[in-house]
Amino acid sequence: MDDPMQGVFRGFDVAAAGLRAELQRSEIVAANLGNMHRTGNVHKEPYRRRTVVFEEVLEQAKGGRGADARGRLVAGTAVAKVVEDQTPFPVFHQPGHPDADENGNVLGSNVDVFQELVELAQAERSFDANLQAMRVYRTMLQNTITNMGAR
Amino acid sequence: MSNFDLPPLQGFDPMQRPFFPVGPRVPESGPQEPGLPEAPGATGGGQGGFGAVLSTVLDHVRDLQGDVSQKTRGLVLGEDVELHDVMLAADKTEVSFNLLLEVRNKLVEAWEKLSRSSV
Repeated sequence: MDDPMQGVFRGFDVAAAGLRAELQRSEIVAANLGNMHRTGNVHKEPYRRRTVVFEEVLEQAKGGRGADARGRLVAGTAVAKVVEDQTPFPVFHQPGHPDADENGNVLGSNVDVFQELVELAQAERSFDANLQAMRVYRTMLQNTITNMGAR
Repeated sequence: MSNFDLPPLQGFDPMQRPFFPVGPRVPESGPQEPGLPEAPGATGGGQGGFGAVLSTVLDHVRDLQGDVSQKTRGLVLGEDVELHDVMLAADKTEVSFNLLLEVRNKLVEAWEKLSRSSV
């Protein structure tokens, strides 16, 4: 059976899509932080920093309500792709390191820990914002329903 | 010819219809109000009507509640269920249930008002 409350619950789904996307983003940040000490050299690439790219999700509206000019409804956001950071790897002179080349140079990962921490804080705040949007949306619906019974 | 063969009260007739859309009603021929999907049993005449709609919604809320139980169980058992999905399902169910409850309260209230009215 088709959900009779589907249209009413759209706000929930949009906020949930944001939550999901921010979770994925924080997973990528965690992966960056976890792998940032993976070294390499000219033959073996060290860990390359990854970032996420978000995209807006739209869906074709069945009815006309709430649709934009092209008849689409907002359906939240999603991680469109995970891209690799192309900034050059830092070079360390560490002879004796297992990954050192013949000149004693080691390539480090291009993950910057401070940048990652900023990204993590952003993801956290965005997650909270989406959660708050969901909470407020629920309160709005709830208050409307409660108002039906009030006299 | 008895005295009960009175002509229908013309003045009150149009006023009554919007106030009593619940009970048995003969289907009207005419343009249906746009945007309103035809409720199951709404034009069924003697039985069904609002009761059928109510039972459909009741079934739906029960399905939602079953879904929440299933998701919560899945989460606890470590299946592939996301935490916010459980929260989402619980929120949706709560709102749906409260709406149903409020409609039911209105219905009971209306019935009590009717039963209290002196004829």
